Amino acid sequence: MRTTSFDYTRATSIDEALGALASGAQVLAGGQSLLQSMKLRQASPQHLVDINELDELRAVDLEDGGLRLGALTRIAELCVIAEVAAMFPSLQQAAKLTADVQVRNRATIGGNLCFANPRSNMASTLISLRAEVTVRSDGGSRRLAVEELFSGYLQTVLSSGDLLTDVHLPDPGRDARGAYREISRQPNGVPVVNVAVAVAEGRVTGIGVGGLGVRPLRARLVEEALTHVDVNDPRAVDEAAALLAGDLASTEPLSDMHGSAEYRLEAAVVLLRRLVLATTNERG
Amino acid sequence: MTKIQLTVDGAKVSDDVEPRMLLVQYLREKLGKTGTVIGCDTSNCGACTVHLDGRSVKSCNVLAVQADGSEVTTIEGLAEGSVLHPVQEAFRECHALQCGFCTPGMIMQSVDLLKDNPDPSEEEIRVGIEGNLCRCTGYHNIVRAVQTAAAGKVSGDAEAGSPAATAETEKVEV
Ligand SMILES: Cc1cc2nc3c(=O)[nH]c(=O)nc-3n(C[C@H](O)[C@H](O)[C@H](O)COP(=O)(O)OP(=O)(O)OC[C@H]3O[C@@H](n4cnc5c(N)ncnc54)[C@H](O)[C@@H]3O)c2cc1C
Ligand code: FES
Ligand code: FES
Repeated sequence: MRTTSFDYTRATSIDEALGALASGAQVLAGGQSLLQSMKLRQASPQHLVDINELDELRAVDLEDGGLRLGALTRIAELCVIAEVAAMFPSLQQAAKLTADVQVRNRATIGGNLCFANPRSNMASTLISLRAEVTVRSDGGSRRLAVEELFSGYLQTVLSSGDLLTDVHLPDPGRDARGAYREISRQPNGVPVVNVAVAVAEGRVTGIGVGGLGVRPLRARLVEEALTHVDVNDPRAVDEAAALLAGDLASTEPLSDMHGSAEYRLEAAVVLLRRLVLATTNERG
Repeated sequence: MTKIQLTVDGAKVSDDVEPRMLLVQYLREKLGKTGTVIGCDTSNCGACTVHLDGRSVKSCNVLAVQADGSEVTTIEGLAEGSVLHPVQEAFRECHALQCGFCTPGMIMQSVDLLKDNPDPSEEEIRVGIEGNLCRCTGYHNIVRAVQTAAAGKVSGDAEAGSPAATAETEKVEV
């Protein structure tokens, strides 16, 4: 299938991109989801503004003990950036398990988030790391937590004039560890469910879960419960992980051809429990 | 129509194209480079893999206008005159194909893999080509070909277009 016709602007500055967006254009980043939807005629934008030339959106900088990644950082780059490997190993694991080499060479971190697939590798991992994003529009700029970016299945809270410009990863803390795991029908496909856990000084600091609800979740109830229990006690960790069902109550459960809601919840609880035990214990 | 200028297999080309034209369509329909094939059109099979500014991409999921100002290498640009690229030669020697439809993409992806990792393990090869589907071979000889190319063990005495050598080809056990 071919896409419908559209106008194409290759933006040479952020302001030019924002101007085009304000007049109704849609962002084209790596195109790995958007062109696909357009070929399938699930999307038929009239005007695309290509942001690939905007070098400002490509910067990777240390920032307040953490890291700032431009929205155009390719997932292939996340697999090799030394700071990502050293400070945020879970993000690197999640990147390596995203799609295949060719897709990773094009796919951007911003596009992955804005496509808002609840099963995205990046979303759950960035939620666990308590990452935030900067969003700019004609009217100014704002910052929000990644977990607040998603409003529903393939939907974000962004409006049509908005451009996601940066992802901010805060200081991971002392003795930081983190891990990402997924259950996938095939290793290079979008997972059925995935879980990412961030740990500092032996305590869980964030948990993100993808593929469980219609939007990626932060498992706040589980996080809270884990602050009160001995994370070396598998039974206590089991009980805390089971609270994931309560976290899911904040959104609609996802149930589709890839897995029923019941299966997804069970699978996510198991992944979560294993990840907590692996990351908080010395041998992990 | 949007004007584009790019280099394809070493030659400068310029054209007016519709923004919705895919890079693979441009290569095949405008330039006649039908060596790059379309297997799925949905970014799953990797048959359309080309190098865009030195990195492998699926050309069915890139717009031709996005390649403006870039350098594109297709399977047709790998051989040096009549001398096959070592990876092409290895595919020929190891009989790394049956119907051959996946081969252009497999070779382009294998070249990309060996550029990053000149000495990959078997697992690294399998992971490196995971975006390329082969419905015939079971991948066995494809992996062998990449290993052979990595080890520099291709004889390289064959000319492009000469018939495939079969004498040393192992039978694949299915
Ligand atoms: C074969 C295949 C396998 C895949 N496997 C996985 C997987 O295992 N895990 C996974 O998580 N994903 C997977 N994906 C999805 C892939 O990661 C996404 O397609 C990609 O990350 C999207 O990024 P992009 O830059 O290509 O975005 P685009 O396709 O260009 O854009 C996606 C959407 O986001 C909007 N957008 C993009 N950038 C911005 C911005 N800066 N500001 C505002 N809006 C923006 C666009 O308008 C569009 O609506 C797979 C995709 C393919 C084709
Ligand atoms: S034709 Fe492009 S990936 Fe299949
Ligand atoms: S040889 Fe037929 S698809 Fe690979």
